[in-house]
Amino acid sequence: MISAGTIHVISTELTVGMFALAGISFLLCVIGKGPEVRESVAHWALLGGLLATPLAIISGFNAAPGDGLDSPLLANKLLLSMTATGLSLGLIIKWKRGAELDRVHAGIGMIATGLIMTTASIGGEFARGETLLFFLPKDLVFLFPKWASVIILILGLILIIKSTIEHRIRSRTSVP
Amino acid sequence: MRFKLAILLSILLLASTLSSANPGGEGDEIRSMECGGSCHGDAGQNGISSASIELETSTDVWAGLLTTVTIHVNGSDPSSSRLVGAFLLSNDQGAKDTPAHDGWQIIADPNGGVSNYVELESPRATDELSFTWTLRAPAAGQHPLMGAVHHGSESGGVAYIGKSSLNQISVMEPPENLPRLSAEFSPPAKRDLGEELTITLQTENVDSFSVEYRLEGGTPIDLAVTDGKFTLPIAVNAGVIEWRALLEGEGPDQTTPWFRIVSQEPGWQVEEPTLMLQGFALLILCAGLVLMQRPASPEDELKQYDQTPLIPTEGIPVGWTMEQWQHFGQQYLDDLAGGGPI
Repeated sequence: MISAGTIHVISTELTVGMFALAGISFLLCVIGKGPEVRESVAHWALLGGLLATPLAIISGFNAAPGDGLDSPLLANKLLLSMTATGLSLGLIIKWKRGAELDRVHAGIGMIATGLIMTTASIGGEFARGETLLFFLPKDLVFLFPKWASVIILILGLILIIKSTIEHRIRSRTSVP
Repeated sequence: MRFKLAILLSILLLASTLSSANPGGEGDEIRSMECGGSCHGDAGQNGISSASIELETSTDVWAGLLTTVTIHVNGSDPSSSRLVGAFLLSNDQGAKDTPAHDGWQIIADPNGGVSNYVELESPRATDELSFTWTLRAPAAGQHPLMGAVHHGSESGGVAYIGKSSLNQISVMEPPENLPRLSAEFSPPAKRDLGEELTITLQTENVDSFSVEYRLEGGTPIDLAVTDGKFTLPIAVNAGVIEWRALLEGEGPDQTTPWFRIVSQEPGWQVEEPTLMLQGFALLILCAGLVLMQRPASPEDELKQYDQTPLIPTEGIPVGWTMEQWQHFGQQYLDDLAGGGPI
């Protein structure tokens, strides 16, 4: 029988490793150094990290002592990892749609990596009471009221639908 | 550039502390000795603690009834975080060694949980710690118990382990008419600050009982008992309060062990559905914002290499511009190879 804690360690190492690889590859894209496959590596590593993230979140919930989300650190971990997942998902879909890699795209990739690294660091503080990011106000949780979250959700859905429609129109008009 | 990077990495490496322990602790949990060898970085590298570790048990331990066991730790000289972790174990084999493996049931640990491994901060002035567990005893017979501690060192270089001797506990079958707490009664182990706590004592073979309480190690104070219930005073500070009952009945009078109640600040709470909804909303919004990001201007593109597909011998399709070939040429070639529509 393997405990949730062990599964969480495996899944977080996978997630953090994949995101770190993606972050470095995006950095190489920005500075124009490294092998030509850096763009593919960045996006495939991002996808790998994305696949491992849900397992890390679920096993993290099960491994945490106590009942549910009883610490601001855990709440911040959840919000940061969901934000990073959203950014990464957007980048991968955009890349698969044929978008060119620009500085903003690569920058967002590095931000997603940074958010996952911060999440992992908070995990270290939660489990062992140690962190390198001692200067961050991790006990502070920005919690929106439900109605604000619903508005954000609707706004996000509108953006996704709009971008999908625009992409389809562009595909039809561009291909000869 | 490479030299500067090497210097930066070297500084970062030198800034890390060389420690084989976890100064922040591992957290209270059910654990085998040395966490199965993984509490500290490498169990084989542990030093032997100079702390004195002694196990104290009640004189009479009755099968199926509650009792307390205390591990006294003196002179551990731990790390700067002052954390000392204590294990209550049923043998020194390092596996299948929790009290539950020998039939003991942990009712309360020193921090108010139900773990056999707990962490407490050793006071700098005295460097003395006592870890007290409330246990329900197993069936009558000889049942060994021992204590072990884990801690770091001031310099941080070595992690230490210390063990007490293995104590054989004689668990006896209680006399039939022994005044006792009923098997269903489980004493509360923790409460929040500012909270009054009323306990209804469930007993067997008891005609009357009285209750007294004390602050940890202080003088006992009598409590009024009404209809089998008594109320402990409100906790104004985080700490430990202890209570015990003096049971009288047909059989010999009994005094229960001191039961500990840990008072703590109310935990942080959040409405989970609200947080989940916010997390999901952020995910969707961020994905949407990235997808809506406008295509970059050509000079902002980061491609440093030419991805234009090779032009076939018959040339690019009629009516196509070179720019269209750069973007859609590969798709054209793929369709051509697959026999699909162009």
